[in-house]
Amino acid sequence: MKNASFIIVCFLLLLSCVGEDLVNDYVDPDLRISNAILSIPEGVQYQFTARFFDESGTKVENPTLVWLVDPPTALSIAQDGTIQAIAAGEATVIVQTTGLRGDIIEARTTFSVTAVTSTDTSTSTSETSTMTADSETSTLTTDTETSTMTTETETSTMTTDTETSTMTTETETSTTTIDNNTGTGIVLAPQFYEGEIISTSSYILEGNFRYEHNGTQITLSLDENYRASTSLPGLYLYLGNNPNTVNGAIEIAKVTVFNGAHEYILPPSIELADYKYLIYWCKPFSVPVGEGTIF
Amino acid sequence: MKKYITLSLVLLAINASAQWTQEKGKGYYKIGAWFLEANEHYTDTGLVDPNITRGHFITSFFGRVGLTNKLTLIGYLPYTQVYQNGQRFSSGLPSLPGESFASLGDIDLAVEYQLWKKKGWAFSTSLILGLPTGDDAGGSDGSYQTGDGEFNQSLQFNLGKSFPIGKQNFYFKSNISINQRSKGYSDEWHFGLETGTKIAKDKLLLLGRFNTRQSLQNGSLSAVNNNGSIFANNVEVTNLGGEIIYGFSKVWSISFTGSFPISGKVIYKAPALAVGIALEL
Repeated sequence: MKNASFIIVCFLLLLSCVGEDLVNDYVDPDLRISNAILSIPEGVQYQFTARFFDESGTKVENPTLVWLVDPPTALSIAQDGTIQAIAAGEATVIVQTTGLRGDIIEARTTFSVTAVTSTDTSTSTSETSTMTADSETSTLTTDTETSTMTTETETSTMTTDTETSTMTTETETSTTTIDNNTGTGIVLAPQFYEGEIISTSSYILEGNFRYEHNGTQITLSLDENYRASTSLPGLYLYLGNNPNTVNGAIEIAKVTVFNGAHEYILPPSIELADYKYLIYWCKPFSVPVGEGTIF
Repeated sequence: MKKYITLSLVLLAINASAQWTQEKGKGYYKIGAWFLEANEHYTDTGLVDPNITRGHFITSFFGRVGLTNKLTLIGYLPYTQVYQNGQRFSSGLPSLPGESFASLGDIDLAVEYQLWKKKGWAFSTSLILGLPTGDDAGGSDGSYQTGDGEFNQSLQFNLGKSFPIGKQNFYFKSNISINQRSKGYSDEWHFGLETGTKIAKDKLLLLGRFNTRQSLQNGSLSAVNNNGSIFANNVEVTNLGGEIIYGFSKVWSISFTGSFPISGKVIYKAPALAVGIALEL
């Protein structure tokens, strides 16, 4: 009987072996145009770039992209994403790729091709600048799947349709900027996003945020209404493209502020379109406890 | 959380033979293995959230020796392994390896003094000291704790009664204690009930338990001021459990224990299982 008892104890000792969990980390593949614009003057060239993230949220290097325009009379486009603005009006650039499951993944951006008057380029730029200053009612709407962007010049309304989430932002002062590097009069899309942190667990985690590139680096600002449970052990903030895991995400900081406004200055190497989610992660339990969809 | 587990184990062992103190010169010694693996936990709101599978495995030595007929010395020496499973991803991303960390856990020392014993009733008190001999920042990220780094003292009162129902003898025990904790952790109170009876010519002892531990919410320690450590304060839990003890000789016995949480806060939600071999001399 003593021997049997020892055998039972030894068997139970084996139960302490480290096993393996299966994590369902599927996310919808995401194709995003990383340098959208609001407007471009006739006759000017501009190269769009796009990034593709697969079903695990991993960035695909050198994906096969197909670039299209609508209507073809407004723009011409090369397969490296370079457009040539031809005729004034509204135009849409469409980029497509194929997902791992063979489905077509698409992103769109819509903008204005502005007419070039008899004045020279510098005048045209000045007019664009004025338009930007007047955009006090500019509205940015994001829906997550198809990524359509529409801009009406006078009211400066931009709408982006994608499928999985919706973000609505009202801005009093548009941060639309002119591409001064080229001096071509191209008006870049706003270099910020605003959104809401939501709890994906039973812990309290909420608040609004603003994710803004100031030309040098990104600042993540949490609003006064931010709240997080102080009972959460080992809470960390990550940036990632898959809210189900921090595998492949970048760790920003251990969370030390649990109430009220504060901000994080991100490394200059991070670009605005690099990460789609803020991920609040509890290390001891290895689980996501909250997230914010950036765009 | 780790501290709770350690203290629960020693209290479980102490309560199992509390009230009726050890006779002078007699001893009870037990080698045990305790196991808990959880893929969900109670949050601070008492709701249940999932987590990556984590486990605690504790092998321990427990002993109690009667210094006098009324005074018993008790010791608990755990060796603790904390581990987390690896993660395999459905997307095909490279797996993340698991991790484990093992060290000496928090040692507990206690004395129990019999205050009163008469007509089947027994009343005693215990002073339990929790020594911070475990590691409160083990593993790669400091979350594989085998102790919480704090010295705590628990004062417990035990009341027991043996009684017959028909021809069958039963016993009933209750205990209540205050656990004073240091380093900003909240103090706790706990309450337990136990009843049992022997069958099969007194070779088999069957018993059932109810235990609850509640935080007094008076600690200053929170995620705001923890200076970077990973911890769990204000842990609470209520368990139902049972134990089967089989005496296969006059001095040797083997026990199987199960404990099942029915509510809690900031603690794993999973049954804890234990087995032990005891020698009574």
